[in-house]
Amino acid sequence: MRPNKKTIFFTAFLCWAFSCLYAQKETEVFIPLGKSPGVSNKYSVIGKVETVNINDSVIIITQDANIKTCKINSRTEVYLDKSNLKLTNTKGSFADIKKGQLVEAKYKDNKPSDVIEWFKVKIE
Amino acid sequence: MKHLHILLIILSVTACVSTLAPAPQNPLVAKGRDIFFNETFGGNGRTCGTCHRAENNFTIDPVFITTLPDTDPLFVAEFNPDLKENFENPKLLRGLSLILENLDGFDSLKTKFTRRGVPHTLGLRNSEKSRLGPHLGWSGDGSPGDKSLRSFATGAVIQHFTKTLNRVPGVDFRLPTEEELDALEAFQLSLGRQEELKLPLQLKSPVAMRGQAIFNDTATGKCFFCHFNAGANANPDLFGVDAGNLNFNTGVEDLPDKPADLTGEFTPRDDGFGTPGDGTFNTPSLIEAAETGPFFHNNSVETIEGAVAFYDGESFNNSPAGKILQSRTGSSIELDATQIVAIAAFLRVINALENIRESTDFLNSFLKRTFLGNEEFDKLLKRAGDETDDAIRVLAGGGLHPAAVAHLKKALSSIDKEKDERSVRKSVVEDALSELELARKELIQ
Repeated sequence: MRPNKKTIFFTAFLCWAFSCLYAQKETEVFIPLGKSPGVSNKYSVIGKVETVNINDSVIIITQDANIKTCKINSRTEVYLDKSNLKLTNTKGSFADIKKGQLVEAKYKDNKPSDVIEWFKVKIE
Repeated sequence: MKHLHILLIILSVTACVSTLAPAPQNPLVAKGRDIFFNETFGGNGRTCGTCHRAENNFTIDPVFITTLPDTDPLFVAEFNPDLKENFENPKLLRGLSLILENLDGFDSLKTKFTRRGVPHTLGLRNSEKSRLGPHLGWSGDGSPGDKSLRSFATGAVIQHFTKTLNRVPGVDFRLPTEEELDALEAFQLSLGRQEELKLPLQLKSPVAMRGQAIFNDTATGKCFFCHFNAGANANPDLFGVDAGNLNFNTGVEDLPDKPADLTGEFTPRDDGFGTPGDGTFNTPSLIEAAETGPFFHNNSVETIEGAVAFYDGESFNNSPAGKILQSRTGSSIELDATQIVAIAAFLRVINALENIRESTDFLNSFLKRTFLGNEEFDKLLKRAGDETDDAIRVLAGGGLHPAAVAHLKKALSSIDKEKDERSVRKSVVEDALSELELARKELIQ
């Protein structure tokens, strides 16, 4: 009996959906801001924090003279980059993101309209 | 008389091939090879080649590990006090070739980790892509950054190369540069098969031939649903064109009496892809399987026959992947001992054919002095010998094709005679090539 294509496609779709949710980022925390391979300067934006508005799920950053609005959700990770201090990078929270800090924001599915997958915050 | 002497010298020289290396055909691949085997990235002494050994099919297993000196960086947790705890378990590393990975994060090193075998890096060109994006490592989520093969080394350096568990870039290691990542990717893509097989093959062994039929049969083996053409990619007729390399939860974690558990060492359940994991693991290619055991992500099965038998058991048939297979084909996988051995024989034969292809390629590269760069020129003969030896072990281990094994032994004997010589006799290498071809003709029409 031949497998039903619809079911198999559905299974593949489920796999795809879960993949999007659970992309690997565990070693990402140790990679300094601006150094993420294949991501930095390609699918991310680096700039200074202008406004943090957790209630509206938005963080606004400025890159040169441009304003970038970054959408966040409960799955957005915050990584604290302490590599300049020669300390171990750690995970943080939105409370660690303050106006004026240098950050890198990575778009989840590599499109600027996407939710941010992770923020890296430079700790000096 | 003097002229005759000179003529003889000239003839003897032209009948030899110098081991002085010509330029590689692909300098980026050659650069990648050098980084892969020699670059420690300022870390604990490990290189990519510490676990992915060229002479052992780019992986490690317990027998191979016994050949290494105690000072080998593989055992760094035994002599670097900063890595004594929560980095590797020497007992499981030496005994079961299991390495430690913190795939669910680094915030609780004592309890949050997995223990996994080292997947080989052969044939990656055929399986690095899938519709879901790159799936690399045993659970398909081993790569940071853009998740690509190119980025994989960055995650590996952070996980495995660090001097201390602080994992501070610039202190405990340095991260690979963009140029190094390009070279490492080119090197890894050059390894092993560059094309997929096209089944069915006209194999000469009736047992292997029957195994191939069961492998591709929708009622018995059903293996080709996930291992199309015995590779790592899903069947495009079922999963769609460009499905590529997918993840499945096949229930390996539910196997009873897993060797790591029997040691009594703490081994948390491996939740597979993602954080928290969804229980799925990446589909490996089967063409190189017979020579790269132990099998599955946790090295829980030692033999290829045992790995095939897994799909006849409760763990697979009660797993999510097993249930889907049952619901769509009307039955679980039920294989008798002869059928299990037949599928394994098929896998052994296609593995040996791949060994013969690789060995032949290495020898021809040596004779024609046109080598790709993914092996040092003066090691081409040794690698040809390694591949030939693999073919012998893979076939003899299944009691298959004794006549082919005899030809392979003659080929190996010829290669062994010359591999350490400064000037290699061309005729001896040509003899080895002839024996390899005779062996191949014993296996396939």
